[in-house]
Amino acid sequence: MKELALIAVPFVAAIAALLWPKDETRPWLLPATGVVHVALTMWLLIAPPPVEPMAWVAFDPLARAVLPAVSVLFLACAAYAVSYLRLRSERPNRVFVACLLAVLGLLSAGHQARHLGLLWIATEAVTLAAVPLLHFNNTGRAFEATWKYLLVGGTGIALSLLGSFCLGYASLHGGGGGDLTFVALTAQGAGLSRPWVLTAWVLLLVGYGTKMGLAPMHTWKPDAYGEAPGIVGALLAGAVTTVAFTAVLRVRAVVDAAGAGVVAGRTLIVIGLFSMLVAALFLLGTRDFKRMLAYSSVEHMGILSLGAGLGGAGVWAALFHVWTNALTKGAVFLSAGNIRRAGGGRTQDEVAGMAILTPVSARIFVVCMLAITACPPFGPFFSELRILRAAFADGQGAVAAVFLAALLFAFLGLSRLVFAIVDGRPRAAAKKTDRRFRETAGVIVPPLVLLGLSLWLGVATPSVLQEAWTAAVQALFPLP
Amino acid sequence: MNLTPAMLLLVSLCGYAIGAAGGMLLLRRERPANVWCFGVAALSGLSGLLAALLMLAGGTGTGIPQFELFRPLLPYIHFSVRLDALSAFFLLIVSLLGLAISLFSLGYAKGFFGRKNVGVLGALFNALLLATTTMFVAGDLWLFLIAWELMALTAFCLVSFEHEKAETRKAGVLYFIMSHIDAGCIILGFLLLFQASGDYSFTSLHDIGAKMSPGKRDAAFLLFLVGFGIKAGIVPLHIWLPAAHPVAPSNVSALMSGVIIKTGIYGFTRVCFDFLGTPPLWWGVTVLTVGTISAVLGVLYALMEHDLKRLLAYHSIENIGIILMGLGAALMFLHTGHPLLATLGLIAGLYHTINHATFKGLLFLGAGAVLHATHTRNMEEMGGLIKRMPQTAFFFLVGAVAISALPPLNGFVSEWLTYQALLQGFGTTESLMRLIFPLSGAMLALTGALAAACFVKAFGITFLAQPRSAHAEHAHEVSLTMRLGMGLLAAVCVVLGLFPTQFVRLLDPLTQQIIGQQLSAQLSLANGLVLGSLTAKGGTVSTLGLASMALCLLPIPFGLWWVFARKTKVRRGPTWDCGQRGLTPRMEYTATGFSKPIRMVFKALFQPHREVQREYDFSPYFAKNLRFESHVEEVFERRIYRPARILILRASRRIRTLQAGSVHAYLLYIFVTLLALLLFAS
Amino acid sequence: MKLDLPAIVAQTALLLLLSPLLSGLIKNWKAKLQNRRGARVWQPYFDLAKFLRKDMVVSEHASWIFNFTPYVLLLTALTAGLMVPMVTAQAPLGLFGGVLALVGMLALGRFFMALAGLDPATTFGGMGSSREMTIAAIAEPAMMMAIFTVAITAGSTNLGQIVLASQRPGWEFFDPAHALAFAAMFIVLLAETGRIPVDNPATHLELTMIHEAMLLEYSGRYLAFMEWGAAIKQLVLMALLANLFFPLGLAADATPAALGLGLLWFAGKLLALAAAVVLVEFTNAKLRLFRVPDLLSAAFILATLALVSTFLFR
Repeated sequence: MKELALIAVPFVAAIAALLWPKDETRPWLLPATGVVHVALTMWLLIAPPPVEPMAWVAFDPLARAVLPAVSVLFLACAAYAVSYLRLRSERPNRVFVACLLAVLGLLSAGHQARHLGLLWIATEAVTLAAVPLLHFNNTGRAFEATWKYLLVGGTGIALSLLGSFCLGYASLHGGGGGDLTFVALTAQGAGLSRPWVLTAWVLLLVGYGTKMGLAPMHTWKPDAYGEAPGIVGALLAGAVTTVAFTAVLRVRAVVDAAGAGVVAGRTLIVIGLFSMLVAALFLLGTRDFKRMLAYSSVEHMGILSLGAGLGGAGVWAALFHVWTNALTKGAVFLSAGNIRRAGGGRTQDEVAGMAILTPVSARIFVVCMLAITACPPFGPFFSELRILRAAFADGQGAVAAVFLAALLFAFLGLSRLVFAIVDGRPRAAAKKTDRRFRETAGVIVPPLVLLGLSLWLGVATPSVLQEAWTAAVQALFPLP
Repeated sequence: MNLTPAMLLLVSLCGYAIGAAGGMLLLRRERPANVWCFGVAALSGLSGLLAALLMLAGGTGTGIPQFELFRPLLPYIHFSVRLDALSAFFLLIVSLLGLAISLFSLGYAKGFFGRKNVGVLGALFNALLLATTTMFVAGDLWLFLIAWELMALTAFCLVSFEHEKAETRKAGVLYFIMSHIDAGCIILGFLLLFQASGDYSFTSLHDIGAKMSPGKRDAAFLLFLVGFGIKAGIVPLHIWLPAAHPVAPSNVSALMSGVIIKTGIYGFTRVCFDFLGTPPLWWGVTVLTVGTISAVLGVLYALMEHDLKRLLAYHSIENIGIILMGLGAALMFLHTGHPLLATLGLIAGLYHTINHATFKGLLFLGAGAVLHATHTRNMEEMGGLIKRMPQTAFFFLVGAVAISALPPLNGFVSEWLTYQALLQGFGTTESLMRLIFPLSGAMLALTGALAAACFVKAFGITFLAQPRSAHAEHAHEVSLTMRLGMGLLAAVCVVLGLFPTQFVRLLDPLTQQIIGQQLSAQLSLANGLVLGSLTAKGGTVSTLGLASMALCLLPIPFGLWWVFARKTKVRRGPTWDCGQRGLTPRMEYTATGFSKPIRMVFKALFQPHREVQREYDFSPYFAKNLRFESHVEEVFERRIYRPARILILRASRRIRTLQAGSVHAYLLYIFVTLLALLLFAS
Repeated sequence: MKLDLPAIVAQTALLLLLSPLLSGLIKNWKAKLQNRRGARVWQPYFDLAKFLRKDMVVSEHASWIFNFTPYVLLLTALTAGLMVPMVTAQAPLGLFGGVLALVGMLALGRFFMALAGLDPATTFGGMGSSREMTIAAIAEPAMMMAIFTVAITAGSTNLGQIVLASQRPGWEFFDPAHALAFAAMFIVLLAETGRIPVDNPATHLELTMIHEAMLLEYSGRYLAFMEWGAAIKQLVLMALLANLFFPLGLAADATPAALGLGLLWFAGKLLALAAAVVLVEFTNAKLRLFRVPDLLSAAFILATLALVSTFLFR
């Protein structure tokens, strides 16, 4: 029942938020729900419930390996949201809070979905629920970004629906019953019709890849992340993309079972490396630090895709990276939000010398940048090292080299921009902009906590998590 | 109580940690922070020094101290510390420099009072020493890599300590980027090793190269050469070094040039001699060539500098080159199966490593003292400081003589050993080596002579003649602790120069561990007074003997004085001025002028940019006003780095047109991808 | 280890007494070739004695470096001289250093001389220092290469060992490698001792002088020490050339007869070398400063050829 509670609690809270009369106190629903959700996921993580094989919704090994990360990230964002929404008191927050909670509920559903159709519905619903979040600032540019998000995201959703149909037809074609639960599809295995499976794989990869933001389907990301508030960006980059990634993983397991694993792996590697390279090149030129985060997210999605393409050890590393990426990306987005609020601009032409204006936020921002570009001893370093090792173990030296080159370029781009913003003397205009931003604990602690968790994950990965990832890899790709 | 190296090492590590923590706690109180941070760092350095000396003096009999850090804290990652002889040798360097520089910093950091946060400086300084020391004594890959990165990170923070200057910011970011690249290469290299061994500990990696395929071994070697080479500052990967070392606070510059670039040498030695096994010939040839080129180009570019600290930074490149010449020769001898000669090359390289650490540390401290007193790094604004800061000038002169490889100081001894190693290479059979060794030897000679020229310039223009600016005019001697720091290193330079055989004995456990040979007995002749060179009829040298001989000859000039000149008088008078009325400092020889002949001789390399504007009434020979501009840009910046940067930025601009804002285009991308993947999958 | 004290004393005396004579001889011969009568051969002794007795003027800008340098120069030249075999195959201080130490000692002297040039705040001194260090730097590789050629053949950098190794009965000691290396070393000798075509020892024209420019501020006994040091250095380098490449007639034992014969041979070789130097000075004009590197690179190429020929022609 607890797995259903994971979905239900946020929805109940969302309804409560819609009904709540006062703008000032409504945001507190967010951390309250977050705490309950984290408590539930942690409980389930430590004591995993037995999984009904044919259940449509269950806290199965893959959900166990990923969902707690989403939950923790949400809690941090929720804590930050309280201060943030107080800062943005000029905007009504009824729909915002409700949608945020709904997104959490839908994410829980998506991660736990063991049925292709249900998974699709949950992902689609998350996309829709995120629309008001993106549009929170209510500017013309925000509207444009939301529109692009909806249009490009919608195309992806449509493609994944088509892919789901193809997979269903592959089952029928191969003499199966057209049962769309992953268990049934995997069980049918080689019985699935190969051409249809491959078609379905490509459609689903492109569809969910759009949601993840793999290049060149990433085009909605820079605008959306650029215009959305920091918490929304954090959730999109750390949590919503994750559900798409688990979808890809689940489908990949089916494709593997159907005997087309080599092709699937290769496509994932190619698209992953391509995403990383494209993102790195974009990062070298961008002057806007919120768009920079979007490209960084594209890069990390590329890393996940690469890991998933490398097979067993790679998938393990990718699951590890889901965690480190979620936590670190969350910290980056929140601290970037602080810089955005304090600096009064988004580009290096408008913002500089933040080390002097907001020393704490600026330092956190720099450390976050280090963490996200995989400097040890932060989490991403260790997870990317694992991916590198997996690539080596797989004998893919060239892949490893491209991977490292892309990481290097991304690092060059990120560090260049971040230091341009942090160092130097503050711009005259920035000093005059509205000075409501104060470095209170509410906006400082959440990114710090996320960073701390990222560090902890890196140097001392808890054994329960390692065990959860191993179990997930086992469940997805059982050793023959 | 019985002091063991392990205990002393732990004390040293904890000391740095406590020093760093204290600095962070005393952020707002600069005086206590200064005393606490640098005092504790000095004591920790002393403790580390004792540990290293105990370990090395104990000979080969003592076991290798090992222990694990954070054992109960982190359940499954082993952070093992292992103090073998190679680690101990580098621990000796870092601790010695740590001690001297901390003493110096006690006075130097006062210059930052009221201006910058000394607590932060002290904390970062301790953290840098902690990371570096940990890196040297790491016993497994994890600890090594983490310490390596922390070292780069703290060094970066220290380089950009005065980040309000644009020059500092640029240098800091460049340094940071290059450290990232080197870390990437090293990680890749270690992954290749790890693949063969399956274990992280250094003991399991010993001679792992024998288990690897030649291709992978070569790839690992190249990765390490690039990775450690960036950190050491070999040409052409050095571009960060002359940018970053000068802009850091001078005590940090001393630490970076003295110790941090040696981490590259440590890593390289550890990997090439301990892990990768018997090398193919081309490794040694590559290292020797790279070393030779670094040495020559480093000193040539140093000559073109009139920024005192940049000049010293370029000399670091030169000396890293000399170190690599010794190590490269050793690698070649290992290939040809001459372990004794290989040991000689290794000793030459490592001897030069500690020598460079001491005299470059000393010189940077001297430059720091000058900067502290004159507030400028530009040599053209100095002059006459020998009268205003006599002790600093003396210490700087000791460093200058040492780095110019002049007897009887330490630079001479290690270059002598390098020459011996190179010369004896001729006896080996490979004909490539027959040519390459003497050629490198000749280039080493060129390097030494150019270094002497450069330090005549550095010392002469900075300290001698008349002050060239008001800054220099009003300079004053620096505080006692600063002089103590410099004096300590100057004394070490002298000791290492006069007692080479005694020092080589300390290297016995090291060479025994790495190559399985001990040379001190063969190198030490005449009760340790004379340094030999392996073969019975080979070259010998005794710096102590030469120095005492020169002193014994001192009665000759004094006797001449007594016989002839006892009654003569000495009169102070003006310098001859060709009958003009008085010499002004503007008529003195400048640093730029001093190096002009060399600039002209090596014009093809430097391609100096020169611009002269004259204003005159009737004849160009009687100019009213003259503007002269001359600068030299590095060939690598011009030919490699700038074109590469332009290329990458152009690619980045091209790809940005993908994100033009048209939703139609975006949808098109999706369908094109779909099509491509369908084709790819089928 | 034992130091041969009489040998040390004897060689020191030889260095001190012979060096001014050699300078005087070269000056005298040169004058003769130029159809002048020239100063007496003994003139340098009188000059030194005169300088020693004079009062000194020291620049008010000069520091202790200025006072220290004459001693350094004299003592380094003497110490270097003790490492060169002159009459016997073994140099008295051969154990303390070979050819590398010799070069190092001379470089130490040059280092301080260049500093002393800068010390009194005169432009001429700086000019001299700058040029001296440049020429020394480009001469160094050629010199080392030539020395390596003989050192490699002998397998040692110890001068005594080199001389012993190249001692052969009859005229066999001279092979192509030695000939080429000797040519290179001879050019280096001209550069190191400040001879035409590199520097003109007779000039006091400010813009062309190198060595003299650094001594410009010196007077009295310091000038005597500096001049004497330079003369000793010249003797040392010529002795090095003479005995390294022509190891003839070196005394095999310490009997007076053998020593006397050795001394005669040594004097003969020095005279021959001096004659060669005079001939070069007589037949050449001083090169422009920036043409000197061409000459020295020629020396380097000769030395490299010498080295290559050691393993090509064998």
